[in-house]
Amino acid sequence: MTEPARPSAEMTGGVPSREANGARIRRRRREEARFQLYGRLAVLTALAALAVLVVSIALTARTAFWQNRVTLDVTLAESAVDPSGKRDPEEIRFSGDVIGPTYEALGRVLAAGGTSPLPQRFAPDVEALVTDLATTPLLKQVVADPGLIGKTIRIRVPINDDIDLYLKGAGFKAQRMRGDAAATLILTAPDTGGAAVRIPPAPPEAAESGEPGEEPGEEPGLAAGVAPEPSAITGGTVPDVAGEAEGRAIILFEGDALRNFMGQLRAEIAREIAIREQETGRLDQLVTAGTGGGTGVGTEAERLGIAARIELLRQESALLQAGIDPAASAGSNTLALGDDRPSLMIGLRGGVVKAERVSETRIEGIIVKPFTDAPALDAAVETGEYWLLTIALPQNQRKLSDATIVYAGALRDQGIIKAGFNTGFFTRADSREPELAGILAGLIGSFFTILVCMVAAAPLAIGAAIYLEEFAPKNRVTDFIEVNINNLAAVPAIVYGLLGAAVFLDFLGRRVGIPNLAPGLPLVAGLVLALRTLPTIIIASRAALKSVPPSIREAALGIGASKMQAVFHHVLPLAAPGVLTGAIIGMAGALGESAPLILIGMQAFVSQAPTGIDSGATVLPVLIYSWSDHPERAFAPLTSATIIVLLVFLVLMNGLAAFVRRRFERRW
Amino acid sequence: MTAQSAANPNSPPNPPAGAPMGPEVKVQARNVNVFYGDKQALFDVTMDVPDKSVTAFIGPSGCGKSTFLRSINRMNDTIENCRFTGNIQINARDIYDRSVDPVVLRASVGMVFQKPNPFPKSIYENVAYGPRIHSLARTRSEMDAIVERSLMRAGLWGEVKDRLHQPGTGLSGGQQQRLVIARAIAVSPEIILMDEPCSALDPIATTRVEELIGDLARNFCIIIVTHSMAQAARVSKRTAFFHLGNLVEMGPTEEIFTNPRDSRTQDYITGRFG
Ligand SMILES: Nc1ncnc2c1ncn2[C@@H]1O[C@H](COP(=O)(O)OP(=O)(O)O)[C@@H](O)[C@H]1O
Ligand SMILES: [Mg+2]
Repeated sequence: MTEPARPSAEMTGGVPSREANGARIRRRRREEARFQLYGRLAVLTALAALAVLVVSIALTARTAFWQNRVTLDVTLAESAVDPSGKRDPEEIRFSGDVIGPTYEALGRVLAAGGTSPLPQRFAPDVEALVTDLATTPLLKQVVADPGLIGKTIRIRVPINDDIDLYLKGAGFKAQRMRGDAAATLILTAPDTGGAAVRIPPAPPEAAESGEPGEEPGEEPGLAAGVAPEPSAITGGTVPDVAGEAEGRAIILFEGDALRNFMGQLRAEIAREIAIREQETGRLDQLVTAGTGGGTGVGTEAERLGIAARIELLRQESALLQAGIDPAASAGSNTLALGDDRPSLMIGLRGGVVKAERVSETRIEGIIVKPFTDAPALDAAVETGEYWLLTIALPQNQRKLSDATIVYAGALRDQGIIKAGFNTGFFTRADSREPELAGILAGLIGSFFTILVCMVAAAPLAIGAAIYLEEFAPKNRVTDFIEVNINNLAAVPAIVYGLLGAAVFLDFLGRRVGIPNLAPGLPLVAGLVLALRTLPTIIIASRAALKSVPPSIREAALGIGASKMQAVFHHVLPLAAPGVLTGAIIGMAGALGESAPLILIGMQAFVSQAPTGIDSGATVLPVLIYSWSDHPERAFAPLTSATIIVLLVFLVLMNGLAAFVRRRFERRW
Repeated sequence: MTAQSAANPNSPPNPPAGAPMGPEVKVQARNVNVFYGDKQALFDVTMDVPDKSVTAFIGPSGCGKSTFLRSINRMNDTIENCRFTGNIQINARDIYDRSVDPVVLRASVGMVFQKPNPFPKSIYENVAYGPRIHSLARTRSEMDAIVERSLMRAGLWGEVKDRLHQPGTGLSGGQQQRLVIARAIAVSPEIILMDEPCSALDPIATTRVEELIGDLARNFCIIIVTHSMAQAARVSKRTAFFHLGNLVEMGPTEEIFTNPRDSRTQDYITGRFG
């Protein structure tokens, strides 16, 4: 570009004033620089958005690709699996119980050695480790081979999703630290009927003070093994006996080993006071606003209840504030730790005690996991020989009980629960239990759907494109068709879902009675998506055909090729990369489609991988949609992991399209 | 088909208006009118083209030379909205008759375009394509022979015999144009139409193609559209001058260049327009 030079007095010999020119050049460069800056900013913004998306999905998905599994030697007792002893596969299938033996095996490893089973009270907490659905494969195995009954077989099953998440460090935080003050462990007599009968503690022995060794960890863990525990009842499966004996213990601490936990406790009480006061305020308003009679009474009762609660909290708070006198140990100034309070567990001598009453230097609690090395009498515990596990989130606000957390940690420390690659995610179909849910039904469903879509759409679309581009006369009718193909490409996908539901399912399937046109089948989904991708492929194919230079057609026609021959021998091969690219992009679009498929019943719960285009299936995007809607937290990482799988396929398909374009593109 | 048959297919051969009737008239055009939609591109063109010689069409851009050329092998049929009236006979047979299949016609009336347009295939395939679709060779060796002979006649054999299976698009412009000519003569046409075959070539390649045209004229009826009057003078025996869709005059090339009868021809060859 040359700057137009305006003749002026300042011009000398036809050269414009250097100054004026310089200013103009500078301005032009500034404008250019600014424009480029905007461009870079735009690109950066787009890249940043993409990065945020991918990273956030990847972070959520991360935990879904590995899974904690428990390995157990399950003894398939006949009394549970086949009580009638008839070895009838059908009967075993319907009434055989393999989860019982599994829980028994779990209890056994937790009691490590089996001489002293776990307290019966904690049976549900053991059972929370594994869901019964997880043992379905074991039951199938037994049904297939009843000879296994009576034998012990090794199984490896995923643990329950909540505890799996906990072990992966997702969700609420638990803090484990090494005790930093010496302590005394006192075993108390088994209590009866929940009424605590306590033996007064012996005076605390002075232990050597050691360096406070703090070892924060997020997960609980226990040493393996258990020894005869004086107060444990016998047998996890023994029928409940009223007033069943439970092991209890008191632990006295030399220093302020509990300061952390007490801090959490104060914070929790303060939090609750604040909430309750707010509630009272709200109720006061209701009362003064003079709402109707019945409500007024109800409100009044509620208000009184809350007032009482606040009073209690205040007392507790005052108690905590003043500090609890260690000398008045068993008395009124200990604080009860209900389900609504932070949890404290102390692990020592291979066992775990869960605190039920606490003061600054003393806890009193129930033995959740028996000691391996139980003292006959009061025993001194050195600094560093025990750990404290604190969980700030009260037990009634989480799905996992303290005992379950203790057991899972113990099993993990023993190497019985191990994390591994979550193969089930790829080899299993959907399940109600997140730890058992996989994407196989979606993967195979997507495959069949895309297959049907391709077989139905590609030939039709390419044929239509060839006809319209090469053979059809250019007139009003073809113009109209062209405009409407473009319109069709812009129609929202969900409309195709409605169309598919009306035409394929309702009309052809129900009225005409074609049996394979039923909701939730890849056949129908593929046909709907074929309609959806048809215009896309037609448009892309026409563009590809158009881009073949007319000279090629002329050349062929010029030596006596017919129109057909010119098109199929010369034009189409040259357009093929573009046509293929269009088809692949269309298929990629179909792969990511969810809305129209939901309308034709692809959102059904599919617990078995489809076996063909006429067996019930779901597809990946719909699976993502369904899972994202699940209340279980463990479905969130699964959802993200599925998104990643879908993205991988989409990227692969787009890469294939780019490859086809590059590899087969010809220049002329 | 948008083109119509001549209005009077059985009309007796009228004495041509301006052109002398040679003993071997290959193409006989009578009252050719061509329309693109409403726009008329040719007005009552009547001419005789002799066999086994080169006839040049000259004239300013847009005067209808290509249109007339494309009427001779009915390539205009492939153009949407193009309408033809009049009569063209080749070997005294009306090529717009219903019984004539334009596809068959085009095999015997080859065409070479302004820009070399080899297929993006091998040199061999380029030449073999025509014979293959017209089933001119029964065996592989027959095909080899046709390809060799065609390339030989197009003067390209020596240059490409070692790389017959390399892409034809990899040749130089001049070679490509000769390849296209080889492709056209591979189907044994009687007439070869060339629409400005040298306008995309450098002078040396042009010379080679012109020599080739001279050689081919011994066996074929060649019609060449050219922008270069020097080229017309060098290669053609007869020249036709078109202007605004009219055939202004046609005659032996020397006469047209040295002693044009029409003032428009005079103006054109002296460079006053075009
Ligand atoms: N495909 C077409 N559609 C419409 N008009 C055309 C077409 N081809 C040529 N024409 C018109 O016909 C006239 C003659 O064109 P053409 O025969 O190509 O001229 P020349 O080859 O002598 O330069 C020109 O006015 C041109 O605009
Ligand atoms: Mg032209």
